[in-house]
Amino acid sequence: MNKKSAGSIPGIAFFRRNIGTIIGLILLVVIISVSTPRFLTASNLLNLLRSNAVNAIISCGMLMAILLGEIDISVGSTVGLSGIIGAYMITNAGLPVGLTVVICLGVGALVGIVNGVAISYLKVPAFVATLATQSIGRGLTEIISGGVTIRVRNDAYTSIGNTSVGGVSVIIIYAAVVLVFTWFLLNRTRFGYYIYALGGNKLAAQYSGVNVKKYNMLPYVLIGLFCGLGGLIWSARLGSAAATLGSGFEMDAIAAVVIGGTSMSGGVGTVGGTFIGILIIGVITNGLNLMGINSFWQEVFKGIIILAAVIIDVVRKSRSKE
Amino acid sequence: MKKKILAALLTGAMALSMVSGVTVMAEAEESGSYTIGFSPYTLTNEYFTAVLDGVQQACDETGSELIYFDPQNDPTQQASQIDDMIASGIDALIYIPYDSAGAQTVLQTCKDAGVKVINIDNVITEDDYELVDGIIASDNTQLGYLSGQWVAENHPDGANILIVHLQTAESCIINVDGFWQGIEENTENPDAFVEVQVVEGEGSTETSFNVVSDALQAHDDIDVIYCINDTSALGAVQAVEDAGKTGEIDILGKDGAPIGKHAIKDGTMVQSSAQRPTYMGYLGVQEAIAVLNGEEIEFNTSIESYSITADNIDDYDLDAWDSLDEGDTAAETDEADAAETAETEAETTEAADGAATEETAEAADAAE
Repeated sequence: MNKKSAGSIPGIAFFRRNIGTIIGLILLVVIISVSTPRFLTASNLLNLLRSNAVNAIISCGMLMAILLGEIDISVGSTVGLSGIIGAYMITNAGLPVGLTVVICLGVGALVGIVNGVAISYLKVPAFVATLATQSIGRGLTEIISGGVTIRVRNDAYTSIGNTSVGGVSVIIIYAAVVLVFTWFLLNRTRFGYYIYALGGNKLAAQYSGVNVKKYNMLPYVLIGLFCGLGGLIWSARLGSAAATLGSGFEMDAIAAVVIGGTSMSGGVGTVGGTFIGILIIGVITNGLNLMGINSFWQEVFKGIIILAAVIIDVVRKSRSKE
Repeated sequence: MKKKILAALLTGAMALSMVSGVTVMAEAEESGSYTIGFSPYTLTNEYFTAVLDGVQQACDETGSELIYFDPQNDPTQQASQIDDMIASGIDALIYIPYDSAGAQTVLQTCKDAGVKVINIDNVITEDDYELVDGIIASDNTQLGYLSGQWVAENHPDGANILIVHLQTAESCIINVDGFWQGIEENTENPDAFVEVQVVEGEGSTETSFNVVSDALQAHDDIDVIYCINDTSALGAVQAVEDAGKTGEIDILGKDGAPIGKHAIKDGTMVQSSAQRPTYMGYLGVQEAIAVLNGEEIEFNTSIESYSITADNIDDYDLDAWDSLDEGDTAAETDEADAAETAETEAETTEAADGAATEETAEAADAAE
């Protein structure tokens, strides 16, 4: 609980808490800037933020699952399902844009409810429950799309992902809103307080009167909602949705959360740290692309950084025990 | 009559109007009818349903019965479904093995049961060649070659080229090699064509969108983007549009999938080399029946591709992969080795009445 309050005050405490990842991010930026002058340009930085915006939105959800000491590996498939249903509703069914948006978010929330009920009320381990919904979601995506990429011709729908405000892509703004919303939720509300409490010690939380079932379920609904938004954004952004949309998204989200200093055993982690994690992953991918380095090396570097982040977490924990 | 047409089909080399071919074959009465089994990767992917269309059509025309199941991308399920087909008495199997290196046991079971096997699309390993009766596959070199040729012809002064790859797929590596071959053999000045960067698009629209966006940040001088399928080309189209470079950069894809054809029609893509799943399925059944009738067939057949561009897009059905009455049936055969494909030159000639575009392809010289 102390860790939480340290991370929640922006400023010195934030830097102290995330000093390792901040130094890592700065080092990365320096190395890449020296290697290629293309990196530190306004247009590339906006490009970088836009490319990682959906990952940021999903990572906010993933953070909540991991704070509970659990996980949600259905996120990528939920993005795909929501994206394909959005594209189908607007193109094949001819529904109005407003209704399609509601359906997209609703599909995400519905997957979240299924996950939440299974995990919280039926006591299915989170990994197993979300593995199952991942499979269901991907299967439904294939069935609805028939394996065909669905093209979206509706300008009002595609503008959801293609508009920019003062040169900043609207996708970046969505991500910023979700990040601030999640920060507020985790740090300024009873809901957030309970999530940290549950993740820290479920039994203790239960004895102190927290409605464990309810507060274990609600985060999954929010994760689903975020994924629904992610699917909506991608299908609008690309003007199409393929059955493979969202494949592997769970890996980048878990990586961002873990690199951001969140403990896999729950109770410890912040939105700020996760944001730095997202930036680190984004900078590696973008920087190595600019430098023309093969994508397989990107995988290697990402893996090394995840490993380093977890080792730092373990070392920190064993020190605090002493 | 049927034999004559089959001979023309299988020896390839010469173009033949499919419209007349279909009519004639529909009239041909089939004496002994066969039961044909078909096993793809999955039937929730439009590519494989297009193969099924061709298989179904050939079975209808020859009066054969068709049995098929959906293995749902699972090689173990595929194996047990094929056992079921053998038990229900198929005479021949049209087989797209999900795991091409692990097809041996399935093939041995078929051989023991006396079932003829035509392996299509995903070719088995060479060690297992003796277990099948025929192989039909796309010519991956030529698919890339046609795109390279388009680039050489439309950028006579050279071009800076970005490749959106799927580096884990062997077929795509062959595509890209074919692409460069297509450029080198159709230009006076191969040095003017520069590979700016190779990015990994993972064959998906969203990944391709991100990596092409990054590449456009890194390079101002990209003229051409070659993508290993139409799905990733769609991501490149959006990335180029975002960078405000629509019209300045030519985007080429591969497959001739409905999404690719629509993009060419809209002018956002310039070229796509067509895969011909329907024709492949159709030819598979034709070969199977020929083998059952005791006729000689070419063992190794590679399917001739054709180039779809803005000039000929109106000749094709935008919402289908390929249909049997478009293009031609020129099947190029290569007895020696599927990988060592003969160099080909494809010419596109507009039919005077605009009814059909005929792709005449001639094998130039044998591969070195």
